Amino acid sequence: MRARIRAGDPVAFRELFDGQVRSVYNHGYRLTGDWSAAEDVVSLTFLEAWRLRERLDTDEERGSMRSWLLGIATNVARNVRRAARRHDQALRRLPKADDVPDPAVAIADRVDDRERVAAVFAAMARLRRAEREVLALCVWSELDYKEAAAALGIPVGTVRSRLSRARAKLAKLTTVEHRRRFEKHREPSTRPGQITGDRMSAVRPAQETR
Amino acid sequence: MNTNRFQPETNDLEYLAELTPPPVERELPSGRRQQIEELVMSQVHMDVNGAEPPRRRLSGRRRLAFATTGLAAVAAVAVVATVIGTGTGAVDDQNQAVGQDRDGLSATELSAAETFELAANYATTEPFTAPRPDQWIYIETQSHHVGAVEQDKGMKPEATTQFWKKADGTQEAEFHQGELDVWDVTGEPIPPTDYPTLSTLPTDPQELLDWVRDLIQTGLEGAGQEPSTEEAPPEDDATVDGDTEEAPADPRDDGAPDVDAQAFSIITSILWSNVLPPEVTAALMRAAGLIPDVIVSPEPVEIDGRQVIAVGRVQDGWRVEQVLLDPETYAYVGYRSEAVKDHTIEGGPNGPLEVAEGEVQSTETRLTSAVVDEAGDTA
Repeated sequence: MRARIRAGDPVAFRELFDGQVRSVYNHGYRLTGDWSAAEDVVSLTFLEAWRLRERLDTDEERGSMRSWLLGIATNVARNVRRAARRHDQALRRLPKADDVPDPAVAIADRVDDRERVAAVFAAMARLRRAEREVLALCVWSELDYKEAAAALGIPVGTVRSRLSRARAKLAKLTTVEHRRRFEKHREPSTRPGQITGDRMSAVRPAQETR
Repeated sequence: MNTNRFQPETNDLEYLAELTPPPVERELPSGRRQQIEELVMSQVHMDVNGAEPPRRRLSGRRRLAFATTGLAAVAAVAVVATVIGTGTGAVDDQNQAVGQDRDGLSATELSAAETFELAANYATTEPFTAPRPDQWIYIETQSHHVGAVEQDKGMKPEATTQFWKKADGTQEAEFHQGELDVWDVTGEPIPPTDYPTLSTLPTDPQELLDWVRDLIQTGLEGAGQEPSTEEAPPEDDATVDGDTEEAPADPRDDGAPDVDAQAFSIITSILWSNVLPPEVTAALMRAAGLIPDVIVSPEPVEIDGRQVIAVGRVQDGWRVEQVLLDPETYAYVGYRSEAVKDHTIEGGPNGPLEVAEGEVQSTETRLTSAVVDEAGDTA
């Protein structure tokens, strides 16, 4: 598979797309916090992967193809506009995304995501970009340190130290955040007529996992 | 680095996983996913076959889009010449050439950058109402294709072209033998020719020039697998005149693409074949002034009986491409290309071509431009 991709085999590249599009899409979302930006990350990541296919390591030990793609996606997400300029010609062939929301998605969004996601992104926003990237790769996309290091082109030790820093910062933040959120959610219930059920249940999944 | 491999790693990860539950996971909506997959795979297929198959695949359309279109000819001309004559090393001798070549290539009162700045200033004062997407941009051009390359390609020596492009970028039209030809735009010319793309180009000259260079770079990289097609994007467009299925053989010596030459060609061709928002036109002018080795001809050039300013660049070591400007207002007038040295173009489809020093290759002047409601309307 690697050899075929490096050699520019379209069938292999399509397989790669089919197999990894979901990972790349979700990783793109986690880095940008925006589903439509995540779509751009998908198209640009695969265009970049194609362009850079010869740099795919022949050595499987150096990381999976997924980690290679996620590394590219991370670079793309850092500056979607710059990447888009490179692939300007190709992107012009992509029809505009229609704005009709997917009903299933809309419901999922409404019910359990928003606040949880907002909380996660709020926390993430306090991290440095480099820390966020490592966290997204190692924690959410479950790459190991070595793969994340290869994906980002940084030493394993750097991955490790970024994660430690992220951990330390988040630990501090979450305590504060937790308290703030807790207080915020208590407050409305003291007001008559305020329906708090929705909000509470929307928050719960996030809290339960803590 | 030397810390215990497992403990801290596991701890940090577990802890972080607890602190930051992953945001929801989602599938790309299936319709969108398919569009993106097709986009990516179309790029893959285009590249895989080198520059060849896409050219064959697209040339039919492009021929339709360009061959009937005098307007695009200058891009094709510029591009053919680039392909044929790049990298002879003479570009490095430009400053010398400036001193040596008698015609219009020595000292000038205003620098090219200053001249383009005046042209940019003028452009920003021109009235402009952005076209609605359903409207058309009409451009009428007077062309003189008298050069050897143009003749060799069977271009009419003199022609007035009436050309329309739809503001949403989907269609173009031209009067051809008394009839209005309208066609869908489907190819991917470099540079882009559609209004939506061009009208939203950066208005900062340096950013705009970066965009042009990226475009060139992308083209070069896209064709990178096959060394002999290093100049693929121009070559691609070179087929637009439709006189050959084969790209001209490439006699370049060192194969190094001259990005500055291509950038200047691209900017001149965008200027020439479009009506754009004033700030974009101005940025194009200023960006042209940022390109190294662009010079103002010290003597005016005569076009259709009037004297105009010519600001240009020696391209590929043997010809100068020029933007023509009104000597009083610095309004945009057109484009011109002239041989500044005797030159033999090897490997053309019809054999080698001799170009004599001083021979004007082509001249394009804009007669009219307007935003109109329908293709075929001229006002």
